[in-house]
Amino acid sequence: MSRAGPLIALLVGLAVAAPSALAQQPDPPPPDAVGAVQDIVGAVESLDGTEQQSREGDTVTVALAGDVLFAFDSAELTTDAHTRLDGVAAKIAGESARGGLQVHGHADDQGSDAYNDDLSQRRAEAVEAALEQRLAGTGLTVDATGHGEREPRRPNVVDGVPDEENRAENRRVEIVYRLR
Amino acid sequence: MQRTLVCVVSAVTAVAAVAGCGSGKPVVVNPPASAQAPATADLSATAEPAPLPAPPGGPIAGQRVQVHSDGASLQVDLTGLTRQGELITLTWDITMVEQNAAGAWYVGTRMSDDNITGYDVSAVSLVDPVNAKRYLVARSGGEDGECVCSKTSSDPLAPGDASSFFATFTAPPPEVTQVDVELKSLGAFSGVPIS
Repeated sequence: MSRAGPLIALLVGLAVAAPSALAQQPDPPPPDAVGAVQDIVGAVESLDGTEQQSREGDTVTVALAGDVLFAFDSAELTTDAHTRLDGVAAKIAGESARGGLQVHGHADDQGSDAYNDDLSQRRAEAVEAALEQRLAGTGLTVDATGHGEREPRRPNVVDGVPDEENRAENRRVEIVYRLR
Repeated sequence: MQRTLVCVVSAVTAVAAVAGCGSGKPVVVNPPASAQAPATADLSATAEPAPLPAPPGGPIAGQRVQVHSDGASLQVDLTGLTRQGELITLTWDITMVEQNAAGAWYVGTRMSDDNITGYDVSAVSLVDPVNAKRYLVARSGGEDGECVCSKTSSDPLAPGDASSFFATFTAPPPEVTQVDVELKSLGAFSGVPIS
């Protein structure tokens, strides 16, 4: 066989193969295929990380660090808390929120479930009362729920070691409201 | 996992980049298509998202990063910071300049908010110092959702090799024209203009 033979055979082979490779189309999707559409949610937080806001569709969540709002083991609002809640209430009123606000209290994993359920409920109620006071006359209602340690945002314990930063993030109160 | 050989030519690193690359020609790297159209439940939106523009002359900001106590040296270049609708997408390249002694440095979890298993860039954030706000990486489908950002690899990068990344955030208000960019342990940039 001449030296060109194998080369020609190769080129012919490629010429035959290439168009069919290009002509191949993926199978059409089944007619009942459904693609989920998700909201994209980006949180924005204060530089000290103690207050975070995110929006999903019409629903806004403001998360406040428990350590700013309350002293250790307490459900009594600190002075700082009152200032923060002044700001949050003003924002809610200014954004023409409608209907009901929900306040969710959360705890980290320290202490028993029962203890955390109780503390987070009392803390949520303290924030509820503070917001009701500030939003009186707006027609907005406020509702409070304690979730104990059941809904951590970050793992309390990482690789067997408690993570204090994560725990602090889990000790939070979330205020959820809907925009008009 | 794609590895793209990128020659990034910038005023700061022209010598090093050219020395490490073959053709010397800048290659524009665009983020994947999924970053270009925000998924939104509002199906009545009529505005078409504009395609992300290629950086006109190279990176918008770049710096050499010495990885602490490691000996590895990287070139980090921001290639885009672009608003699209309610979102803003940051794109950047990391080019290995000099590997550590073991030749084993890889990106891994260094830009993730999960130090142990997070092979993504979820710890990257934008900081607006004027309004004292930090923008955290966006998530799809709620705050527990998937990060709208690149995944990372545990493959060591050879000198001259680059990886490209993106991360999407809620866009700051229109009057904010520049932000600081924090790449967690791989460097920070201040005053990056938003396009």
